[in-house]
Amino acid sequence: MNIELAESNIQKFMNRYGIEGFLKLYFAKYLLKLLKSELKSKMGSEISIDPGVIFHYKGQQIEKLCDIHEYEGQLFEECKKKADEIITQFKKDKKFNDLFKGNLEKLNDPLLEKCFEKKLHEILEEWKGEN
Amino acid sequence: MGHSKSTPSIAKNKGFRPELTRKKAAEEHADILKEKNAAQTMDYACRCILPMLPNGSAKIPVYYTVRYSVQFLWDTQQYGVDYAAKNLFKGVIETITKEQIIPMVTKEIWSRVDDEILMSGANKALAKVAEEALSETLATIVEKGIDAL
Repeated sequence: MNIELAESNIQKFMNRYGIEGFLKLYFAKYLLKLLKSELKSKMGSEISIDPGVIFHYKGQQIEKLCDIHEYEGQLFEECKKKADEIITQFKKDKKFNDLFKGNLEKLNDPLLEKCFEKKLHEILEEWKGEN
Repeated sequence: MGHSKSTPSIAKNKGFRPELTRKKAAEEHADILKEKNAAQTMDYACRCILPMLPNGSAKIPVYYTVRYSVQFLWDTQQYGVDYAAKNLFKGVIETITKEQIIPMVTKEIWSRVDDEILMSGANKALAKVAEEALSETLATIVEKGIDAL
């Protein structure tokens, strides 16, 4: 792949999915990485293993690699659903119109940072109440 | 640039004892791991992990990662990757190759994020999660295009 193809892939992705698509993919990957990292730390030192392995630790046995991939794949699908919910909530709020429209000058507004943080906090708190 | 006070989401809960919550969470997830059910794991995460994310130190890196990534992707869509890279790097590079694009862009975006979050006392481990997710996301888009989603 050359730089032209890389550029073309980015442009095709943006033309099809826009900033919303990027945010969906980013949040899904962020949630998956966060879960793997946090779960590892919460399992404590008794099961101190690589975060990539934590998901297939069953009892005292390490399961087959295909099971790991299947489980991580399923978990990534769950993360995508949650990423969708995050994006839906952000889109409902007019304060983030500039983010989705790529209005870059407005993204430098410190107020937007505060609003983003508050909104994300509200979404996560809402999830806690739902489960 | 704004800086947020780092406030644990769960701290407002009366009688919160993190050591008990973590122990309970670990025990609960040990059971969930045996089942290896992704939906249950996410359910657990929504109750016990995600609400505990500190406001400033976890969420501010995500905001600035998104902010600078949107700039790069938007510029690439409108004007091409050369313009986007030069705009991001403030014109200090001549050209960018396919091999360089992900590491260079990720590094530059992260350098900007680092500057922004310096004063907010961001949690390095949580910031690293945001950085790695960015690198993977950009790599997926560059490699797969519309098949990335």
